[in-house]
Amino acid sequence: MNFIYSLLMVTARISTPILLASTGAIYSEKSGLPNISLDAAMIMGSFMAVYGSFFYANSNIGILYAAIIGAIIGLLYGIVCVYLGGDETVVGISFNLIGWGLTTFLLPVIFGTTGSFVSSDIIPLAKASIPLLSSIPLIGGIFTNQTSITYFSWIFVIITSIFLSKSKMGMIVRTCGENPQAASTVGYNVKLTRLLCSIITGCMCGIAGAHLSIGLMAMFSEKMTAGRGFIALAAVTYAKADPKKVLFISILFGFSDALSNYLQLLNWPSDLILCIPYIFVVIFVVLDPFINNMKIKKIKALGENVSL
Amino acid sequence: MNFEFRQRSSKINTVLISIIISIIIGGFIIAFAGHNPIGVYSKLIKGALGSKFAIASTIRWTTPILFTGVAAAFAFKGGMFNIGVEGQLYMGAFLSALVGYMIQGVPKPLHIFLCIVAGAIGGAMWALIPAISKVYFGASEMVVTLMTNYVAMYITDYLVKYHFLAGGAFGSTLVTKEIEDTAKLTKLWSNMSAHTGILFGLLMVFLFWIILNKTKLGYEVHISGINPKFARYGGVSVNKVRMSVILISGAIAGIGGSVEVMGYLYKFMSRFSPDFGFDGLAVALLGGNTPFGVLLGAVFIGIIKAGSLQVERATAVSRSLAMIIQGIIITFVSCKNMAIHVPMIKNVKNLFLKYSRKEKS
Amino acid sequence: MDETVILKNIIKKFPGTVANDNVTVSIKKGSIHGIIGENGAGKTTLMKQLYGMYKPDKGEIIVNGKSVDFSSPKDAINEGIGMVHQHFTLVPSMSVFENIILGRPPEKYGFIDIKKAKQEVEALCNKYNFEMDIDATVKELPVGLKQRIEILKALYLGANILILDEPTAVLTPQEITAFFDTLIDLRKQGSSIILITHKLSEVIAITDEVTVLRDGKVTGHVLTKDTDEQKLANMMVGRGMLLRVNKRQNKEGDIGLKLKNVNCKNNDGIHVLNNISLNVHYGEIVGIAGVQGNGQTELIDVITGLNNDYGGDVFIDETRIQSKDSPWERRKIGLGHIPEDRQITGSASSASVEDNFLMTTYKKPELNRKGFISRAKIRKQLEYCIESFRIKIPTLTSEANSLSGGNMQKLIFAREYNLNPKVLIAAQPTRGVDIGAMEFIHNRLIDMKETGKAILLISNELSEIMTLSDRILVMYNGGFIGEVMAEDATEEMLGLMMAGIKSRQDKEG
Repeated sequence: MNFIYSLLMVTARISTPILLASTGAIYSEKSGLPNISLDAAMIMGSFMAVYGSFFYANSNIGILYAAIIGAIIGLLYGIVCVYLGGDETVVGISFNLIGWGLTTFLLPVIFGTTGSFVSSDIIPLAKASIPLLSSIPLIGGIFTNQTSITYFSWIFVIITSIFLSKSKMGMIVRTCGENPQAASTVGYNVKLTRLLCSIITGCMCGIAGAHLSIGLMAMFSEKMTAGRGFIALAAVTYAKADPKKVLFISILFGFSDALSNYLQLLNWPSDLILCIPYIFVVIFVVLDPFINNMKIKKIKALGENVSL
Repeated sequence: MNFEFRQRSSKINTVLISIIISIIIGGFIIAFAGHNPIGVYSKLIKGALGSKFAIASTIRWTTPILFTGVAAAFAFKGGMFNIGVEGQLYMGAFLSALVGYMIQGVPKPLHIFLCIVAGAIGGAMWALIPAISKVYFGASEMVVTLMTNYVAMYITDYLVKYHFLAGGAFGSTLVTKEIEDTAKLTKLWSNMSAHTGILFGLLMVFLFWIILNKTKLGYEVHISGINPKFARYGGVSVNKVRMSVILISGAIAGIGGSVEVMGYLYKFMSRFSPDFGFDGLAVALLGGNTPFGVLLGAVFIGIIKAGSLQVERATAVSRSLAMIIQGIIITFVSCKNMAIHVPMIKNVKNLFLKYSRKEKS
Repeated sequence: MDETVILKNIIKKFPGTVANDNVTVSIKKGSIHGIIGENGAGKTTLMKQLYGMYKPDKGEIIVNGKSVDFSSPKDAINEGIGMVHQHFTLVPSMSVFENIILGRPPEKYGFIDIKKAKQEVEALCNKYNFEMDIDATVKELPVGLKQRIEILKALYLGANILILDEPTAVLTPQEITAFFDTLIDLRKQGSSIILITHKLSEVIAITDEVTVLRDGKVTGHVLTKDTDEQKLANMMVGRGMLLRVNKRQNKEGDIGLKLKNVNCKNNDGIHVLNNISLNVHYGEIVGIAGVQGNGQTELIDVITGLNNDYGGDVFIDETRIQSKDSPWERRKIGLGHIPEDRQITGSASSASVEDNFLMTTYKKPELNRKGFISRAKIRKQLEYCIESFRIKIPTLTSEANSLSGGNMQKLIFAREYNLNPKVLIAAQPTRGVDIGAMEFIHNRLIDMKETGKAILLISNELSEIMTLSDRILVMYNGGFIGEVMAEDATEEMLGLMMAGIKSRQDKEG
């Protein structure tokens, strides 16, 4: 039973970057400007988190810097795609190239090393357990020893859900995404809305990156996101930017990541185990239409009205 | 979200302006790193074109990118976003290396041919996963190919580590046995890195041109990429086209890996590719997915890669600078409204004048 | 001053064309003012400037006596101007009331005050006598209702000057009558209405004044009571317009296209085609009238091979088609298809004219050998088609989207004609096409009929159906609700059938 407790604890921690990044990406998706540069904001966030934590001896400064750089990347992405007419897919890929290149380039420049930077002076994020909740058997694990970013990501999912469905700004965002003419013809600025959403997405991805670098251990290594930004992208795409589904899928992906961590403790070849999260995403993405169809058939059988 | 990639043609002007802007921004980054931009750039040019050795280096680095560039461009033409060229490259290289050292005692032309076929099979087989996912399951090929890139790297690492490790190489690099001499491509000049693989690469560009402009398949690919509904209306089986396009693209990338093994590495080495795959994507996008564009783009990237290696040796400026500059160039090239900088400058001027007038009064 | 809006000397240019060339229009308060012109005459562009979506290059806009400079629709809305566009600007997943309050939702601390919103919308509906379920999701509503919602949207934001762009394009004759009643009601309540349309009969029916645009200039301004359709047509086109096409009755031959008990379901399992049976003889034009969305698209897809999931039998030239036969197989047997949407299905806009022509043509055995296409031979055929169809193109390698709507449609027609089809499916063949091209296409269709081809014509424009067809079928809810010989058909009769009401005349015979 303790095994499940600790597995859930690890899952909660490891799903955080993907959860936060994909929830942040919901804003971009809903506003009609898909954001493919998630990995770029993430890796820059990871880098700047280490920077902030190292030079200011304070992990919260690390989070702050990560958030700021993420927001900047979101801003640039928005400007290039919305105002300069860039193609989202192309710009997304190129931003990722810039992100990877820039962080690799700056390692020797700022930290004096290549490959990776490890130092005991990098302060990792503080961990805390929620009293009472963490004593619940089995699932209490998710409330134990988690970082502020993890707890924040859950709250953020809830905020996002309420924002989109009940607030005026949320309505504007949804309209921009579903029918931009409907928004512009009543006087809303579609471009500005998409830009602001892009900034939010970037900011959240930056923070997600912070969790990655200073969340458990405190270090930065080249391309350490290992494609997690793209996994987050897959999550938000297949969840059709619905916050509840995004939560579910992100945790699913995070779980496969956690599982591979566990299996490495056994003597299985680590290279194959590292493949698990990626293979999992592929299988999920391929089976997605079937899962959807089954849900539809089930609901029809119950005689309920289905509007998708 | 619609992942369907919109076809666009890059104008020469846009490309030139983008290159200039990127060089300027790159200069700032270099200065930030504490180096002299002009010094770095001149070393870059020297390292790529300044001597026979440099030119050989440029040729060597252009070669694999010709393949990944054509692979990516062909897929993009067909409307398929094959970002998995990196992984297909690895698979092709791996299979090729095996054929390179396991088969012995055959004449050189035959051995090279077999290795190329192995490369094509390796790449195509790896591309089958996203191809089937897209055509039969409607899954985003972009997401699947991205994932398969990482899987390809890990799997080839595993295969080398546990099954095909060259004796006595524990702990250091993961490599397979060296390939037979009959599988090695001839060097263009002795003691320099350029090899006859460049000719294969140029051939590939030429084939790309022929297929695209002269054949039925090329036409179907072209139209399916622009408007699949129109293609279906005309009787094209868009699914068949998409399948072919992804598989062929994978095969080409695989051949690129095979040529790299046969011409330079002489074995399979773990993580041997310094982002050849992404360079190919960049080149395809820069070149507007045209054969000539890919050729120019590949040479351009080859120059940057060769040059930045020299720069890294001479200064401490990491060669990842090349990646940064590439990214910036593509970003600006994809902007349809580059002319926006003209009214922007006008606006800034007007604002400036307004405020300076206010201050006076 | 009883002018509520004056557009003075408006000049608006786009790259390569002058959309509005020194246009002056004044709208009287409390009137219904028609702005007419062909496709491309500049009507929508002009009104978009009044609504703040474009800025005039030169000229002045005066609203209620004061000169205005709109930077966005918000400014226009503040001056009481509302616009209902040709293509609906509704959000399908949201409810009716959500769509109506979209422009200015009542809020409480940033959240939408749903109770207040519903109250205000109910009050609005009552004021204008609209009956509506404001909780319904817009996606599921019929087109006539969607239009009402658009008008309510504008009224909610306080519009007393309403711009309506081609509002009747998707309505049945009965819905149009109800719509006109609404307009008269609105006028009574003090609104001024600007009606953009190209339908002359409607202009005569409902407007007080008309301004005519042609090629970006004003060619006439009259009081409706002082003019008639022919005079307006002259001002619109500049020459006597052929309002009716000469057609001869032909002796009918064998059956070219036959459908027997064709059924088709959509993704939700609902029948979109219900046991359809139909015959088109050689030498005959059969027209299918009906409001968009009653199965016409699905019918075309089944016949042409774009949908292979159906039950029942389709015969082309007496040959039974297998459902899996591709569009090319069907062309080989003799089927031609002019698609209803030339930009989506009929062409690849960024490809060259030559590449567009290649489609359907390139598979001809004499034009390719072992996978290689003979472009020289194809170019010859293309040049021949361009000449005989009088298509205006810059060069063979220009992009298809540089062609005007009419020329592109002629190219598509030529492409199919080049295959010498025995049976032709012509769907919306003159949608968005200038009058010259429209005449050409209509005459060509008649020619084809007279040389013994079988033609199935599907169109939303009743006048086109009535002009060209020998026999008219009305499609409703996936089936044919009635069949009339063209000489017996009236707009009223067809309109009733299009709305689902079986005409009594059939019974009394």
